[in-house]
Amino acid sequence: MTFINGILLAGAAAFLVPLLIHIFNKSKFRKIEWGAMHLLETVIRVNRKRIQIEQIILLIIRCAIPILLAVCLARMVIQEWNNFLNWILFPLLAVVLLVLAALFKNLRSLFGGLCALLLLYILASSLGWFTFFKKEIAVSAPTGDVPASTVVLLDNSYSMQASGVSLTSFEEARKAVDGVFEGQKRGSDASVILMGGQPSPVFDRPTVDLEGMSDQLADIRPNKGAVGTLDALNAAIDHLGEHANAKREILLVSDFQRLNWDSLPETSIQQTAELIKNQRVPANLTFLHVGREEIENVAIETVEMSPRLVGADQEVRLRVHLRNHGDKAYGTGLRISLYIDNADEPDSETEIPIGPKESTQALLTCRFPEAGSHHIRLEINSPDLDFDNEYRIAVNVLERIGVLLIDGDPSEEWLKGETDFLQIALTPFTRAKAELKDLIAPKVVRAEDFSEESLKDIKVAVLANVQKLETGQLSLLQKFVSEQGGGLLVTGGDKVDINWHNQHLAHKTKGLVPMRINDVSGSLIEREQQTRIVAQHFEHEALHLFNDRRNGNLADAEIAMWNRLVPANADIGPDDPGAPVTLALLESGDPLLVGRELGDGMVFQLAIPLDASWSNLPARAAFLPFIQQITTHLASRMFQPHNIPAGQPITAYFDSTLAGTSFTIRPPQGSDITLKALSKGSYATVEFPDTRDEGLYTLSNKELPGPIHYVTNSTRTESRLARLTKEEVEQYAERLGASVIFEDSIDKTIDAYTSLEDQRRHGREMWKILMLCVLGFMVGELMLQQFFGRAKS
Amino acid sequence: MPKVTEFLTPSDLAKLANHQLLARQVVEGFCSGLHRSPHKGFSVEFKQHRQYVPGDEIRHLDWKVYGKSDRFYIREYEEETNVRCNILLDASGSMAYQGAEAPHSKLGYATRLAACLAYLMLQQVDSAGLLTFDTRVRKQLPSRSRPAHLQQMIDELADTEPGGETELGVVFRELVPKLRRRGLVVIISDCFGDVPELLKALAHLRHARHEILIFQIWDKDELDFPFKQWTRFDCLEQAGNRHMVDPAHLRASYLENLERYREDLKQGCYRNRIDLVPMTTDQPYADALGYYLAKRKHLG
Repeated sequence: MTFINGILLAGAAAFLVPLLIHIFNKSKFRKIEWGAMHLLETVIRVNRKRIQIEQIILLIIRCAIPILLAVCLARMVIQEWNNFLNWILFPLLAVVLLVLAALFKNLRSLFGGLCALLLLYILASSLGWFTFFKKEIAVSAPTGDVPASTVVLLDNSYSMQASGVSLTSFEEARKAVDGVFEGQKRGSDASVILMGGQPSPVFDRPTVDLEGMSDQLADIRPNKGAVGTLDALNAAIDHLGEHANAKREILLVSDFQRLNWDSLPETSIQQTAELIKNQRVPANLTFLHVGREEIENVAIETVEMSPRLVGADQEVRLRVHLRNHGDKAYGTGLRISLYIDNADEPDSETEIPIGPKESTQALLTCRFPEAGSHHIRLEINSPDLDFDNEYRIAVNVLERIGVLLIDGDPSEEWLKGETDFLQIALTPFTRAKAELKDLIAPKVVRAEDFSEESLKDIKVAVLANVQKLETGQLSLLQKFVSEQGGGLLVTGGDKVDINWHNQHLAHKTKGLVPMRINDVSGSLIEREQQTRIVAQHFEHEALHLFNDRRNGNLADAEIAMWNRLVPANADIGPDDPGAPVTLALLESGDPLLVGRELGDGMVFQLAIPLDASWSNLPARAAFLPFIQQITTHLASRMFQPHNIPAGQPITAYFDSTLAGTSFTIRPPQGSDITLKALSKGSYATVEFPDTRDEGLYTLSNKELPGPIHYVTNSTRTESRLARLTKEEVEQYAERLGASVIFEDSIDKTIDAYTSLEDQRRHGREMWKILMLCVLGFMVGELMLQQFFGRAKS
Repeated sequence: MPKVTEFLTPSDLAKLANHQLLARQVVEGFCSGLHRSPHKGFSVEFKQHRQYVPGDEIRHLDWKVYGKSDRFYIREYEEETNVRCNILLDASGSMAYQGAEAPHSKLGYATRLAACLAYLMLQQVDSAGLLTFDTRVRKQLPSRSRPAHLQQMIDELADTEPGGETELGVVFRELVPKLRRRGLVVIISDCFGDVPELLKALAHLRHARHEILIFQIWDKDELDFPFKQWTRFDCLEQAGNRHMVDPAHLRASYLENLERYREDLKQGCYRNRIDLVPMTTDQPYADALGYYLAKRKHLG
């Protein structure tokens, strides 16, 4: 015996009202000095006992009405008759017999006896003494006979695009769901939760318009990432709470892709199984397998783009990772086409062979003649699953990155100046008089000339061996980094005033750089005192490039002298905001490069100068990529990512003048959505959270020169189409307490579900019977009240 | 000293002045009134001679007839007399009941009604007497026809307080020898008690050839039993006799019981040719009296 709206049972406490009225009436009586006592006394003498019994009967009926009503409104569901008989129907019958005993004087002993017997039976059976009705008689309500509440978990991950006999797996799934909905009795309600990516319901609330739900499902495409099976089941259990009917079903319609199941932790499976088992109103879980296993599939797994920041007319290299999940070999080659923006013709194409179960890479290049937001679409001509034959990347092509070099030791002589090597490293093509364009546009200024004007159009500033700065200059840099999101690189060197550095630049709380300079170490002459950069695996993103030795080895450089850096604030923990992160170490144990986040910007601190005075790093091959990497990384703080994982919000930053203006975003599917830019500090931001659909999102505003492209990509695990076998599905079903329907055609699947439903027993709602009882008691109460008031002589 | 006007409003008096109380039966008395008497008397108008029997007063012997016939004859005269009227007022405890909406207690109403009657009687130069009782006779004012007697009666009525049990049977038996002369007996009471016992006592009075008129005083509550909530009924006559009941459940039975009681009483009175007039305490005295007197006139 369970209740759908259990909380309404509390309403049964309303039985206290008639009880209290009864007691209150007796205790707060009226006193009358009465003359015609001889008339009253005979009446009282004759009727006293009768009245007492009548009042008890009326009291029982009046107390029973609110209790029955509460049970009725709480929507009692019974699974077997005995409890219902013992606790509801027999007590009611006893009351009716009591009434009959009061009404019919001649049959009083008969009805009274029956009533007493019934009460004895209830007592005995509740104590378990009497076994006549002990055998449980389950209440059965066949499918189609009672309205059901169904939560359908529909797998809309892109593996469901795989084609079956004639339909894709997803089309079969939709057909199965339609078939299930058609078989439901009127009054049934349902919700559909889409399992792909993150579980998300089609409607927030359950609906009884099952046809409308089917129509809604027709517009849904299987284009989501991997399925979180247990998350989806938990969401279904949560949703069941909002459903109204006693017969409850959870229907998981999926292709049972192996990778979604094999990784499930055993404890979580057990927890979910417990959760399903312990539902207040029990729910039947059914696994509905759709489609047919198809393992042939070649997928673009991921695409790497370099460089990180792309300049106009700069060559962009795209490394395409392909994986063949099937057994078919593409010896003649698989064509990869690269499309820029919305072009119909590919910009470039290449063909590569790929063997069964192999993965390979292909390199494609392209150029963007104009700065601005662009997107690239890569496509392979594999005949299988469409979804993973395509990969998109959004590219933000920059005109120039302005870098300000604040020179603390300028020189007229070639390569003697503090920033000369730096300039060469930042603009290699210009220096080499090559045709290619450099992305970075450096600007040199003497330390004493550094002013607000110098920071115009600047993304990164470099303090190269600067002795000291004026207070105003320092606060300009503070503002540039923490408020405008600029990057700052501070290098060491012989000119740096260590005291000034430690007191102002590396101030414990207000400083820009994370490290104090302890002293200057090493020797230009003594080789023993010199050191090198530790050859290590670089964790930091800025130096990832050097994990591949082909890009140069930082350890080649000899460091003769260096500033020994120690943390400026020893109290700051490693997880606190603004904590120093060591990017590279020297073999002496001292840090070489330390970074920290400061407000919206980032600061790197280098222990050596970037000229040839203390080290030969500028003469090494690794110097150029090292400088380029550090600079672009520092500059990238100014640029928000345009390629984001599916499901994470798109956040765009604009000039604060755009705050309050309307932006339009066009998702991969569906129509344009209007967004409002909100003011956030010195920026205007636009945020769009619903990025579960994988693909291209285009953000536009009439104030902007052109649209801005964002691309969301999910991990391509869904491309591995291998499914669980029937036995494996059954094993999982057993652990989760589910039934399995694993048929080879969709019609058989629907039939199998219907016959499975027919075998199931559902609790039956008793509110109709209870409501009749309540009405009967109410009418009875009125009639009895009239009848009991009648004359008795 | 209470005045007549304390009991009777001018409009009551005006209504009553239109009526003449005419006794239905001839009561013995003097021939100076409007009422014919069946009794043979000794005053004004000769009616017949009858033979002397020992015990007759010698002064009524007709000596002339004795002279002629040598036999003793008594002269008998026809007399015209007033109605000799006695008001029997029940002052038992049950008469103290006063309903929530009633203007007076039953006794209050009864004393006012008695005053009305007394005034009416004395206006007609009938003689009126008053007798109050509960378990026993409390006070008796003999019947007089003097107008000054009214004041005496009203004083007595004003002093009457309720108390004691109703024992009509005992009281009426006790009364019979006190009301020597036949006349009209007006009983103002709620007549609560054992009906057969009461009827027996009334029959006793009738046997003494008194004309009996009963004004049965009811409070509306006693007729309607309108109580709803739980009530403790404390007996007005017997201290400690109380009953806690839910009156709504008893109402129908009570009304049935009441109806039976009233029917018994009505039938009993009818058999004994006694007029029983039920009055409720919210009824105007004059209307009720007027209605009844008109009816008497028809009967008379």
